[in-house]
Amino acid sequence: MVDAARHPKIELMTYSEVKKCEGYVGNFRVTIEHKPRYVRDSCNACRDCLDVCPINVPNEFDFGLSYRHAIYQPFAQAVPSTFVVDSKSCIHCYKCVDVCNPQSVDFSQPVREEVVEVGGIILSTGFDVFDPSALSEYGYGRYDDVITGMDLERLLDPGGPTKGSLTRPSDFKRPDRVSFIQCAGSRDRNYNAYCSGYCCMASLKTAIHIREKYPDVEVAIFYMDIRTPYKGYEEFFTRARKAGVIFIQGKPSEVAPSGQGENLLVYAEDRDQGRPVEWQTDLVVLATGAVPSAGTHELSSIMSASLDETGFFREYHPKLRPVDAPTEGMFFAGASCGSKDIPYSVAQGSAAAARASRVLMKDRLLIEPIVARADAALCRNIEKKCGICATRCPFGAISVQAGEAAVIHSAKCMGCGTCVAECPTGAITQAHFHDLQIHAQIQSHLQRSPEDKILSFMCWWCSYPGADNAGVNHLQYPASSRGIRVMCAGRIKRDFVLEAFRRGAGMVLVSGCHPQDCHYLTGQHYAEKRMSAMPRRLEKMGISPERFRVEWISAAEGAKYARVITEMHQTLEDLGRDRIRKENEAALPELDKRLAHIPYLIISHLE
Amino acid sequence: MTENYEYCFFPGCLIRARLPHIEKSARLVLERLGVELSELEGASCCPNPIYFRDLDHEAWLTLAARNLSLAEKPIMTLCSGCYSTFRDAEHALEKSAKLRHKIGEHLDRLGRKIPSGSRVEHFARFLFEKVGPAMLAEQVLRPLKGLKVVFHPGCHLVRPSRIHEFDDPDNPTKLEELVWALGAEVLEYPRKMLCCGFTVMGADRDLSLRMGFEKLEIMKDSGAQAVVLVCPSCMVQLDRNQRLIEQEFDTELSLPVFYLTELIGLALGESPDDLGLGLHLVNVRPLVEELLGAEEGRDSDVPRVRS
Amino acid sequence: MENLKESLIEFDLPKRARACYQCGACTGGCPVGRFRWDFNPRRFIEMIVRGQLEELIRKPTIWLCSHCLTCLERCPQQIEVSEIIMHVKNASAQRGYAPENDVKMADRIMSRGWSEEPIKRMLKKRNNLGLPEPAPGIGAEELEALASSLDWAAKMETFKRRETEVREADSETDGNPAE
Repeated sequence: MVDAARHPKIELMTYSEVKKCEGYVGNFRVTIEHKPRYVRDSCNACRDCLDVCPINVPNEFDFGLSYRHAIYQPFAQAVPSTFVVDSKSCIHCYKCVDVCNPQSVDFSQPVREEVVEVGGIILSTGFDVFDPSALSEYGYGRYDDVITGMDLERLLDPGGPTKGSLTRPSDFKRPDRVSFIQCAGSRDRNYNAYCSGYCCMASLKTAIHIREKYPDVEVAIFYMDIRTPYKGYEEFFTRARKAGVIFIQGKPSEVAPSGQGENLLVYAEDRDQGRPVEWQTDLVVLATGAVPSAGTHELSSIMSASLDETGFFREYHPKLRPVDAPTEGMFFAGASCGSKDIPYSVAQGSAAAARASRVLMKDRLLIEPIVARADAALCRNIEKKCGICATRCPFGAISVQAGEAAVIHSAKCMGCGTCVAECPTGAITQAHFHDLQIHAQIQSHLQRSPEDKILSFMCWWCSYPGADNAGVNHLQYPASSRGIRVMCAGRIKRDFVLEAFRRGAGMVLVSGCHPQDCHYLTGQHYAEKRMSAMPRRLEKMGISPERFRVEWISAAEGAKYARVITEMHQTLEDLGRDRIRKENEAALPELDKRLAHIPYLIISHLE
Repeated sequence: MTENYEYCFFPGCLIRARLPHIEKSARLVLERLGVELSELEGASCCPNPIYFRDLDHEAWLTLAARNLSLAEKPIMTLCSGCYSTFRDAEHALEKSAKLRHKIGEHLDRLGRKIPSGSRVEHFARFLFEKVGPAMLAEQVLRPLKGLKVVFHPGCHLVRPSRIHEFDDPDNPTKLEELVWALGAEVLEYPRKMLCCGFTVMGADRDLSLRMGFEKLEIMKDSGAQAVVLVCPSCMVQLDRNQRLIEQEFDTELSLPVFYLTELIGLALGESPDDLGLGLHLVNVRPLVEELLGAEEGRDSDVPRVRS
Repeated sequence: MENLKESLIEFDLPKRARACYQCGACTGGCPVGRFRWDFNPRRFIEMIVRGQLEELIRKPTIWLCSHCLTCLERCPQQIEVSEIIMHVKNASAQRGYAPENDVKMADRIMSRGWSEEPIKRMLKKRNNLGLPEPAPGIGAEELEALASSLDWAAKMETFKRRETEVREADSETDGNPAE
């Protein structure tokens, strides 16, 4: 940390918060608020102020196991070493001002705002530890001797409140028996459904430490599973067993006072022995998992970085792009996207730095040419609050101000076209995939014998390569399909489907990536929603709903594509040309009406 | 009391047949607090959420639905078992159209309709949520100063927490506030939610008594002078069966067990005789006399205000 | 057998049971399991997941469940263990394993409307306390209609029968732990 602070090319801003973030890759403008420490940099950490400050509040660094004053240093190795005043607990007695030799205490320091221009952003906001007070069956907060793993870390730290001596909070004596309870609030649908991944190793580490330092202290670990994958971890587990740690497989049901002094009983099933136990213990340690760090929610709005269902940040792709944010130029590292242990986090730190330097190394960046553009003249938001396009964009590329037309930042646009299809007034167009171009393809495909044809809309990343895969594998399927490729299923407007039937198509297929695989994160989801009412609508117009299908086909699923086309062709034949023609004719007036808002279509139809 | 509440009274089989003193104290207290109780005619056993439900779900749900359909006003029950049956039945019918249809067919044949919505109240929840500790404290004429009790919530008032959504299912304290409001002291004791064991009696008498013994032992060890509870099954197990337990395990407990309404009744100035406290199996007389003074403890005159 | 599967499915229980990862929190907090090691809710769920329903229905120890709902509250997979055991009891009852007390009580409820009637001495005590007569309960006619609609007589027959096979005592750990 000191090295980082001293590095000529690194500016360390502590006690500061990001308030606003605008711009795009290579050109971000970030507004930062620097909160006043009320202590100048001339502070030499002499600690004279600590002797006079009358205020004592729980020390956050020690998880409330010790106290600090209103003027303080978060911990001894803090960088910078400058002290800080906690304005919430300070009573402004100014004793610190009087005693400070270098006269560093300065209550007149204002809040400072600064705008910085940066090319890339890395969000490594870490995690907070789950508060197990909610687990009232374990008694955290009710019984002094039920503590968390982090509490124990502080107790065993030579720089901690007990100078590293294993002490129990109730009577300050050495416990004779320590019990760990793993998965406290983790892997639990009532609290955090996920596994945080570090707690097994953390408890093993502390357990081994206690056994080695205090050989006559009994240590038991109650667990559901011990998870120690990857390098060196399994060996560490063996070491714990050899150190004499007792492993009891059985998630404890509750912790209660034993009635003898401050001692406790852990009620669990000892699965190995197949019977319930009441385990006597003096200290219970709850191994708690990670939760998103405080402020993640606010930061998510500020940075336009979406969160996943657990409340952590959502990376572009958990396996293929684990340190990229959906927004170009923004990256993640460490537990901000989900709980990780140290090797994983450190590797991500290097990865994010490398990814970010790719942006910084160049003078010019090539961006996506297939971008969307909003026509201010047609944008509904000017008259009546809309903003649908902005809510659909997972990249935060669209900003909509009250009473103004939507603005799409082409540097942020990834080119899925979902906003184009979702815009209720058709105000948005997409470069290289204009409606005109797509309608031209529809018209061209269905010029001759349209009722014999299956018109397939496919996406660039999955279903089109899936169809291609069928060809490459020489899989046989009827030659009745005609394809139109778009970047993403999200681009496919209802109008395209209706126009296809208006042109006399026999069958229409809308296809794209499987849910979760969409290259643009959410395009497939909106396409699915958009097409869900189509069968009913077609039926109302007299078109057999089985003439329309929606399928999610991956790039490897050539066989699926072949099967789908074969099935659709069969349906085509079963219905028969006559019936299809009749249905199309009957639906024509309604279709004409529904597509009347597209001027060039009417003209071409009159030809 | 400014509010007026109207409920159909549903004491439940156990209270109706064996514990008239609980019915008495409940009626007295509820009426004092402004509740109008009307009689529910044509009802049956709720039916028993353990001994009947474990034989046949369909029959259990049908009888429960039938009882619910009788009530023109919301039902006020005195028993956690009845409360559990009614709430579980409402929940099951709400979740499943198939069940509604199936049970509806049975009710049709009786000329009745499937009930909808939630129309059940447990008296203790009513006291906490609608009356409240503050209002109750105002009504107290005779604070139970010096009385140390432990509260036994019982299994079926707070659980399943996803259905009842009332208080912490592992350490509920809301109802204890009602007892504090009476001027008594509620002691902490470990494993508050431990089951009294009543429901096991049918399958294994020894096991049931063993469970009851453990419960009573823990409560006694806390230093409490009495137990307060809100379910007649627990009452039977901990009061009526206490002597059996003492004999079986060769121990002396002599721990009086009160229904919440009985303590409230005493605090509101009702006399022990009016409340029928003599019907307790574990003698409450010494404790009551200690609380109210020897004279008052014995007779049933108009209560006097104690400072 | 069919009935158990059906009723479990009706109440959406088997799918939930499959989520069980055998953590043992249910058995760990079970007030019955403490004294009777042959009553192990975790093992019961395991038997359901493994499809050993026939064996489970024949286990007499399932009747020891007090339905205190502790397991239901503790389960990290939100499996309604107590509910599942209740349905298993239903199936077990149809094989005649229900305790006599349960069957007798059910009989009283379906033939007279109440699980018990106040004896004369109690009625007198009610009177002394100034309580009104207990409100009239369900009429005999309606009870009959109910019983008929539910096919109750046939059900009672199944409750009262005993299977000819010897009831297996559950083997794992016999009896009670040393006090």
